Amino acid sequence: MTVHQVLALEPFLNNQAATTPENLTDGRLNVWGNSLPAQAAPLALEVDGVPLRSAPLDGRGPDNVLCAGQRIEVPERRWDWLYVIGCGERRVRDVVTWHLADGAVDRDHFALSDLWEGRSDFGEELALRTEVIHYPHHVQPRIGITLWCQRVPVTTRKALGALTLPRNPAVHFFAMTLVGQQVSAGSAGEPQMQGAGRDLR
Amino acid sequence: MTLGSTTDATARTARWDGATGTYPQWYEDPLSCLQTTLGSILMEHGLRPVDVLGLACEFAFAPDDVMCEEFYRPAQSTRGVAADLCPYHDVESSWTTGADAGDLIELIETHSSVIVAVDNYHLPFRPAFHDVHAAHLVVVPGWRRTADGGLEFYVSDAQPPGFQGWLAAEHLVNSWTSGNPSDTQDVFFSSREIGGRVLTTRVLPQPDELTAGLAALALQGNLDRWAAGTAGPADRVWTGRAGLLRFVERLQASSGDPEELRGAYTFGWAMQAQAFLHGRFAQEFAQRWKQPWLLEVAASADRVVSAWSNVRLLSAHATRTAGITELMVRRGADLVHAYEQLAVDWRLALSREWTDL
Repeated sequence: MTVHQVLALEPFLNNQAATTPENLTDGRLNVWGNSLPAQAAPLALEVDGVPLRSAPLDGRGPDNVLCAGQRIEVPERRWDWLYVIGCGERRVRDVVTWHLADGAVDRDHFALSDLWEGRSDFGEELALRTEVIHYPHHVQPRIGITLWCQRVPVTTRKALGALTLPRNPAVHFFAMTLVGQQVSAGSAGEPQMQGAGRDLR
Repeated sequence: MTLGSTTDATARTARWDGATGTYPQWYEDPLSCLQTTLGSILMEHGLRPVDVLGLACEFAFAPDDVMCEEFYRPAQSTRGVAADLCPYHDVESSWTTGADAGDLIELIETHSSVIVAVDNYHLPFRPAFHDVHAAHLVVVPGWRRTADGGLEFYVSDAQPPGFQGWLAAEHLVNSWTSGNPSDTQDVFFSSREIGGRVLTTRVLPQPDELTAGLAALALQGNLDRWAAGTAGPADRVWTGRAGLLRFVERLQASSGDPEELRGAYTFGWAMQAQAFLHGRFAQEFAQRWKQPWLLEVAASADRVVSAWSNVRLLSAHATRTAGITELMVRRGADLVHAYEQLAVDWRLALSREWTDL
């Protein structure tokens, strides 16, 4: 049985992706100052049974995390996947750094498709596809912005205590949810040894 | 190396006629207008762009060039940028200029389809129309007089949102002769006058089909250019491994100077697009010709593409990114490593026995 932990990103919101026709110049989704049209409600999706929720995309302020090396504490236990809603300014690959409960660190790679044009390069599901794109001085039809549902593997089987995002101004995250397995016995993060292996010494 | 003769006078015949269907267009996500326009011309001649543009993959950087256009690529040979991009096919190009619609008509009549430099600010189908000045390329394969005597050019632009159709001459000519003034909204692709520039191309008869021999020749050429590259004080163009190492050192030394870094965003596009096409070529060739070791080349080329994304975007965001100096060291090293790995995979692929099926 899986367990989920929706990560609270509010303390880390540092970038504004959504604007209204009244504040087009506030958008910072890419180096050109493009932005997506404000949405009536936060994104609330379920992918592979995993809930993902964004901050309000109402165009009134920061609504996503532009990756700048933020450290996010997580409930200490073994986790298997980090599900995200995100996008790349151009398609992008980078790493997430895991801080393990025993003091070690590890990294896993992730890949995110481009926010522009809406082609999934890595097989991600759509989180949002807009009909128009906001420019600093006009609203442009016929081009949309796409946000993607992606997942990052947690290869290590050790317990995590925190994660650090990459320092990469091309990577935006709007939602994050950790996924793990229900632990039935033993302490969190400890390997569950089965069968005769334990006695072979 | 080139195949065939460059003196064949029958090189170019009009293959597209506005009366019969659409002009061939080709677009892939990491490609700039340089590749997409040239790719259209290749398609017009019955060639698959990936099979022609995807053979070569190299590093070439001209430190003294001004790099403020989407279609910038350092000039290497005397046969033009098209020859630089298609070293295993008989393709040439040449920049020329014109001043008015009459000049453009003459160029189309002489060369058939031509690639025209434009400022997006003046093109009604571009998102930047009457908003942002930015240099771009479109293909113009034809012209006509309308019933009321007006002049129109057929314009093909494969870059999203994509357009092709007849356009009143005034739009194209305004765009083609624009001063493309410096624009704070697009500091990367504004500030250099468009100046009526036109890229004419010559595509000569080509070998019938791609062979394993040609693919192996291209990989060997890539490996040779990587190993034999130079970046000495007298070199106008820094090439190969030596060139990349010096480029990365320079990038790291300039990490406090956003204007200097801007060039890396522009220039890197050409290198990134070529690596993408090489990866796509390797992948398609591996599948079509049952030579699976080329899939390793494809995977490594994709890592070069990703490494360029990180270098380019970091350069573009330099003014707003804390710790840029330290980050540029990491991204530069990633880029070098990605090319090193690609070179290893070229070498390993070449150590196999290549067979033509």
